[in-house]
Amino acid sequence: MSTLNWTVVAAATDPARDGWADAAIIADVAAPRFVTWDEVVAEKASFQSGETVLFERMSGWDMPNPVAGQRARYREFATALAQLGAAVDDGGATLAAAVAPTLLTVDRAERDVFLRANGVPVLEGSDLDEAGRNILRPRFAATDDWIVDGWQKTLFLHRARDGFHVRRSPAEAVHGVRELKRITELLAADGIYAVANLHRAHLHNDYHDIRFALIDGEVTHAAGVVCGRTVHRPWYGGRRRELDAFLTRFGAARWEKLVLLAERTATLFPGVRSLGVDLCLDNAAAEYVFDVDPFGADLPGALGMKNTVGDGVPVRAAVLRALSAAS
Amino acid sequence: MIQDFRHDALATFHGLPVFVFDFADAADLEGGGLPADVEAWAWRVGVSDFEGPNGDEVWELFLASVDTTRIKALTLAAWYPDEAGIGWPEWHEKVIAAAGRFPNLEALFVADIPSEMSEVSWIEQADPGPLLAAFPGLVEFGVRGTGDLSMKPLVHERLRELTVQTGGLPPEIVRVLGESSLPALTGLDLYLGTSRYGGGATADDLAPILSGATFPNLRHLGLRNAEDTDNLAAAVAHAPVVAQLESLDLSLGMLGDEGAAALLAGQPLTHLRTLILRHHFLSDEMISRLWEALPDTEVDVDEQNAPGTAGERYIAVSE
Repeated sequence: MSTLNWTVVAAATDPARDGWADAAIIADVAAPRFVTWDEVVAEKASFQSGETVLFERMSGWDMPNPVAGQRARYREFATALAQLGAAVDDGGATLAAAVAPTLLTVDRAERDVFLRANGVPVLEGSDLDEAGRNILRPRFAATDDWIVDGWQKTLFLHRARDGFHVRRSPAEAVHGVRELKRITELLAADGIYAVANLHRAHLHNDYHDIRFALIDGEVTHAAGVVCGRTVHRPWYGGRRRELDAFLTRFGAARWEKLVLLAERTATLFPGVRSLGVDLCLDNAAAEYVFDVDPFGADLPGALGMKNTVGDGVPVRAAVLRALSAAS
Repeated sequence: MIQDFRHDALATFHGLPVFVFDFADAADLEGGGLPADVEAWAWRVGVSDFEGPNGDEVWELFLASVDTTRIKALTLAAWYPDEAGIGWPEWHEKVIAAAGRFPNLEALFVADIPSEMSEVSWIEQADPGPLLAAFPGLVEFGVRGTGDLSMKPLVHERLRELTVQTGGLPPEIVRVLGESSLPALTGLDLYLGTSRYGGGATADDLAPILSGATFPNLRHLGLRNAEDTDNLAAAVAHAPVVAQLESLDLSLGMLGDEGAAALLAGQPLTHLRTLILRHHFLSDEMISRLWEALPDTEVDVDEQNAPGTAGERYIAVSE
């Protein structure tokens, strides 16, 4: 068993705790110490020299309803993350994801400005008036997520006695332009990230983006994620037929191009050891960075590629392998 | 009750996220293809690809690779890739033959097919009676599509929730359902649909259900996706069953102010915990009246459509 000394900061009810506990068994490392975000915010968390500290989202994994408060939660997260960084520094421990690049990734608008300035292709900005013909997501995505991709959405307007709220449903909802306009009006104060639409690549019976897990800058896992939908509980294990379809249609050279784009993106977020990068692509040659996740790629079930640190294990176990190798 | 049907397959069922098992090649399952927590998912088994394998190949691999004794919830997707609306007798036969391998099955949904594979009106359903008989432990059962369906009254001792999703539920099927023996039934959701697709059930067809005598333990009644919602509402306003309900659902249909007014003029509804009317043609004034009259009831008035005339209204699910 590895001597890795590690701690996970996560809310008390975050299911990611179970994920890390399972990963410890797979990676043959000691079980983690858990610290809650509440303890961090209350300045009751302390860390020790030699300890590696990972952190999860403060909230949002349970898809809260109604949809609101992303901007406020982002501010809370930024404050808490700064406190965590200070506490980790005080103890002589090490954060597995540096504070500044983490915050940059979860402000999609600022992140795109930064990526574009560094020559990384991102979708052109769009306008809320184009809703229905573009892609809308929350600007601040650290704690909450939704997507309106063209007309596809799982958001709907809920009419309560105290007014209208935006809610999300497990199934796709399709409504008219009037409702979509109302939804954007209600969410605007929280910040909406709007980009131009892209007719995505059709791979094995659906339209997909490609999600990469990168550990220490290297692509370790990949899967196609169905565009424009929020899957209630995704599973990416087994043979990825959409990736087979990609290779059949576009060949290994385009795949390598995607890998290089994901890895080039990771170089721009130094100090974030486990990064998720989503790329969107069309049926021709267009490829863009669509999202960057500082909490690591959400690819439950997916096993890593051969000859990488993730070989044959899920993302979190691969992270622990990498941390063990360096400890 | 089961997630609303508009055009998608179910994302959740029986309170569980759906796992899509549409594999026919064992190689697809290598490398962690299946989640280990079998009981934590609702398994959607069958064809989901126009160019995919036939259902029998998927079913065989499913039985060979999943510990079905742990499965609590199962939904059946298409049997044939190119004609998703047919093949239900074959599907039923296979599932009935394997019933002993599902000792813990609590929930079953038949024809979980998105409209992109088959419009609901194209689904030629088979009699669900033998399926129910093969699974005496079921507590939740649902079926989508009733084209060409003929059936006998259902008989099941434990079934608590029954859902029938259609674009047109034949009146004769409604009457047969009203003759069913489902003593444990607490929830009933019927998508009544339009006469253009075989629907058109009236209050007379629903009389045994509305009387409260057929299902004495009923707590939720959904008369949904109905063309004739205003008249149904007027019938419900005086229906004995309402007194025993906690939840009444007249959603997805053509409810207008006339129907809502009839509802409010009838028996008291203040005991209802929820009144679900979403996808309606009510005026703002009528919505205010409902809220005022039912201060402690959660009244779902989402999806307000322009009131228009009765001839301009439409139901949520038809073809």
